[in-house]
Amino acid sequence: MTDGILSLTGVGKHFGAVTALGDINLRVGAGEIVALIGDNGAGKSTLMNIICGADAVDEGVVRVNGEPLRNLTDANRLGVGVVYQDLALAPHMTVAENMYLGTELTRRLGPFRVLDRRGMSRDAKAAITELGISTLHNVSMPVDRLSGGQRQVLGVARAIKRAKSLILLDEPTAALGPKQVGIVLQAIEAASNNGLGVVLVSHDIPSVLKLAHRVVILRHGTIFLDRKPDGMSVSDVMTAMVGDE
Amino acid sequence: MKLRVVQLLIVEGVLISAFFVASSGMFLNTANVRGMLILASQILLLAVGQAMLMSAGYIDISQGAALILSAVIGGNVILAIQDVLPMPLALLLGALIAIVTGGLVGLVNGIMVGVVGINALVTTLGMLGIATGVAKVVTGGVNLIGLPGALNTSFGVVRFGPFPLPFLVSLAVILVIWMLFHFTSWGTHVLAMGSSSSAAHRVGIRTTRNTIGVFVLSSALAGLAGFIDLARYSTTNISGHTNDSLAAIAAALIGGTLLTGGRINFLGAIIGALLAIILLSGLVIINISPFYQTIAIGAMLLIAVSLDPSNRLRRRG
Repeated sequence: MTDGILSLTGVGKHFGAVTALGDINLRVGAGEIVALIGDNGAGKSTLMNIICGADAVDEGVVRVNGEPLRNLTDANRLGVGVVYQDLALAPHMTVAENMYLGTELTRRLGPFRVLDRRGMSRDAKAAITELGISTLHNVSMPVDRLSGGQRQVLGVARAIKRAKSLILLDEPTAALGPKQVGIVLQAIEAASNNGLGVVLVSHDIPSVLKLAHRVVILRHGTIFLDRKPDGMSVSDVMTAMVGDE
Repeated sequence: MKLRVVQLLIVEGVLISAFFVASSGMFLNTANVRGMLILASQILLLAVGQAMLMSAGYIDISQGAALILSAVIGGNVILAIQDVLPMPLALLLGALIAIVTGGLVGLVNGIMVGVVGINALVTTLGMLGIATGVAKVVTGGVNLIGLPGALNTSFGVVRFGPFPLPFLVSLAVILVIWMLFHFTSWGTHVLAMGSSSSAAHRVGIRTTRNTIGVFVLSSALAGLAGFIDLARYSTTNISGHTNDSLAAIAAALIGGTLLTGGRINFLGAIIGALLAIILLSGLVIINISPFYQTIAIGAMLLIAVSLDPSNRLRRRG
């Protein structure tokens, strides 16, 4: 197996005496959608936090396109787009400002470079339209006035816009209605078709089985199963997740 | 936001009219207006500094102490070098030292909050005691004497038309800070930190560096206010300014800046600061005891903030 876009080698994480993750080895190739599945406490969130650079590993190494990823700065530099479970949006800021938060566009004004607010609004609107999201037409709207579903699709749109190599999605469809779920799943497929590696955490097992190229099941902080979803049923996945418990 | 400014202007119009009538016109005579504008030059700087910090989710109750310490250090430097250097250079260096002193106070506050992780209220409460104490230790508890008259005549009382030079300097500095917030990523990042610190951190904003930066800038403004204080009176006022932070916090909040962060209103902070100044000056001119001034400012803060639903605590259950 090649290193691909993302590679984790011997990754471990401990919280005091508790081993949250142990000896995780995982590869995600270009255009591959890998679903991380596990029961509560299996280590999904810890693993996602490590891959997105929010948490450091205690053992092992994480690489994106062969370069080590150790923190959030590395993740941003290496083009890792993330949809956090809590979405990580700034509620007082507008849709356009959130789309570009930390990566603002600037334009030249005499000897200075100033924020290109008009350009950011225009591009944010274009990116949202391109994803087929019809519920976010006003990019000047503050996020605290959006519904839960609108915020969720904004989080997904931002991650897709930023991702250059890898996109991580932690429960991206949790607060969405059926139509918006369809939009997000299509967007994930489109990202994969564009060559991005995708790591998806979701409790929506039927959708995951349809969408993912590989299913990785975590149990007690280790990878219990890593296989293609062909022929797997929801029941098989549930059994693998919880075992005989 | 615009409605807030209009409401404040109406309240200020009513207060000005009331004080004008009660003082038989003295409230709006040239000397009093000039005095209010000079006082405004200091309170405006503190209010804008406080608004910046509040927009980032912080607060600073040590502004008055930073002002006093800056005036003391700047004044001592001027005393030490006034016979050595040409006067304009000595005054300029004194101003620079006062601003740097304020900035250093902010640096300590910023490191304690951003790096050590202590709550801003607790940090600046500690700094209030430290900076006030250091100022008293340096001066022996006695205000500075012997500062050159040129400090007053070449800056403190200089006017351009009806406007005192310190007032114009304050407005110019505030304009630059507004431009920083409006035109640069830095301003957006500060607001994002106030809106959601964890979100700002996770999108790659350098929250620690910005926290230190916003504390340094805010306290440097207090340092400039300290130099203006020196220039007004040609001495320090080490037992004054204890209520300056209260007035600045009140001005920022009344002007529409959110205590919980994420939103700043520069024009509101300016108009809010003017409201505090009108009250302070009006109460003095109609011969009400100065003891009532803090009551008036405190009451103004509570009334104005309680009228704004976004500042109220939500009760559940």
